[in-house]
Amino acid sequence: MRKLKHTFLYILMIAILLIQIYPIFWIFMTSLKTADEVRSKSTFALPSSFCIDNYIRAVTTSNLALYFKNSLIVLLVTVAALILFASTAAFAIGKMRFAANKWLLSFFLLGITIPIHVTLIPLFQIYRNTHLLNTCWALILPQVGFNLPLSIYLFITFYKFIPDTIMEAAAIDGASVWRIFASMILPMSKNCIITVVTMNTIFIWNEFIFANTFISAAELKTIPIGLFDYIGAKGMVDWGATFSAISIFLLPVLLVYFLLNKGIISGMTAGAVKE
Amino acid sequence: MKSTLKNRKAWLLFLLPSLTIFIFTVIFPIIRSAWLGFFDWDGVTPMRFTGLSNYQKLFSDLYFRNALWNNLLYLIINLAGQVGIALLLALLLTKITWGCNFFKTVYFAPTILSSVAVSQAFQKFYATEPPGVFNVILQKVGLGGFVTPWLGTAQTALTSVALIECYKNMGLYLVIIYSGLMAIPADVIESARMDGASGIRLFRYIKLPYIKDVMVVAVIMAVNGLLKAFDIPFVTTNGGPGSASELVTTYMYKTAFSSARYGYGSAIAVFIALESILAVLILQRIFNRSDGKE
Repeated sequence: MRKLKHTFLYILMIAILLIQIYPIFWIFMTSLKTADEVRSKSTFALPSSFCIDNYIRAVTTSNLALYFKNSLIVLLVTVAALILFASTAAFAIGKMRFAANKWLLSFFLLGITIPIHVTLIPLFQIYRNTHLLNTCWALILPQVGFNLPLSIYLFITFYKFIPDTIMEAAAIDGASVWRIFASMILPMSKNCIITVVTMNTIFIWNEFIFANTFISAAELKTIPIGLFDYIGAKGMVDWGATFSAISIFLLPVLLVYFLLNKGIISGMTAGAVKE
Repeated sequence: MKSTLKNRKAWLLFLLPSLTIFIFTVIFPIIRSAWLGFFDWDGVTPMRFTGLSNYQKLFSDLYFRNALWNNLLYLIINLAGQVGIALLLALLLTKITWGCNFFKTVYFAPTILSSVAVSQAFQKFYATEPPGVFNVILQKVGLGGFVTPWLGTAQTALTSVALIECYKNMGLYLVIIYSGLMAIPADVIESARMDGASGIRLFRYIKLPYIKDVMVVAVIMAVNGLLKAFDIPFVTTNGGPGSASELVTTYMYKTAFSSARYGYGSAIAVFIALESILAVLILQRIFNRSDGKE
């Protein structure tokens, strides 16, 4: 009886699992179908051959490579800035001894509840006046700003596990505060850095609303909006190329996810789950 | 040595970049938005001060009221579909012994996918021409009469968009609730079992009180996220057909960036911010009160 219940439980879990991955599976399958198959065969049917032509067409008829490059630039600069700024600010707030630190932490945490929509109109105007509209800075700056609070919070929580006594010992030995941070704290924070990097990478890679508002120049578009355009133009007529483009977009994310899922999951739920 | 950690110059230098960017991109725009809400402005001609009239207009604007109502429905569907299903699944997940991490990882996977990509797949699933996944299934199980372009039909558009949102975010809450369930000490459950508690009673009187805090966090996170939901509705229906699936966020976006009514758009944006903060405060209050009772 107990065994039967267990078997039933596993069947149920696997059924839900199949529902969860089916859309992803469907995207990859559809990316390999010929136009004929899409039109005349069931949407559940598997592709009869691996139609790589779709991928070639997706790459040649879209600016996918360019969008990829733009996304990568935004990603690298934003993540680098986030790590540098969050790790240092968190050190100042969490480990240095100043009365204002408590207040500063609350100030930054305010940013977690604030919807980005409130900032779209003012930022749009500021960027227009300062000629930052249609530059990669229009995407990098607000994404650093909005992802800073959670990143700082994660670093502060992590630093709590580093005992103050070892910093004090280093200080007695004559190490400066810069030295303590750069050659003690930072190397010890490797795990936290990985969490912050992976979490932010997912957010930034998929970011849509800032890019859709601040970037209209084709040569500066990131993948999500470039893809959105491409879908608008081809989504109805050329499914093969459309879903090939989507697959190219999803593949690196999924690869990274299945390699580093622990860090990504703990990063994205960090606000809610106490370690 | 104490003075090393009280180095004011280092402290300032460590904080300055973060503070500058945070104030410039988050804090200042909020203040500016609240300020713009008092003006009539198309972005080109000079701003005209109109006092509270934008905010008054909100309450008589039928499109806005419709969007607000839709947002409420969207919220309810998603709370059930994200947090509700996540809770059930998390409970099931605690019952299995092998492959827990594997299931958790796969269930979470849609969370990391781009809204644009997921939305495009679901748009095809909902379509009739050619028949998408949902309509084919309906036909197969003998419910062919229900076949419809789900996103293009006024009665079903909002729910259909909400389902995409459920699919994408459920895994997040699953992981949060699961970690709460795993934190219940095993001997608590064991001794409750010895006392004869099982099934629903075990859940209601033992597990639920233990994971209450986690549930509160999950509900607050979900409500907060859903009041700001934008990407999926914008990409799939953009509020349509007509305004059948219009949400406050998509309405704000259109008002500002399609109709160039920046003042009124700012007033709506401020409403979204206040609404999010208010919702969190109200939820905290409700949960704290029920805390006092038990």
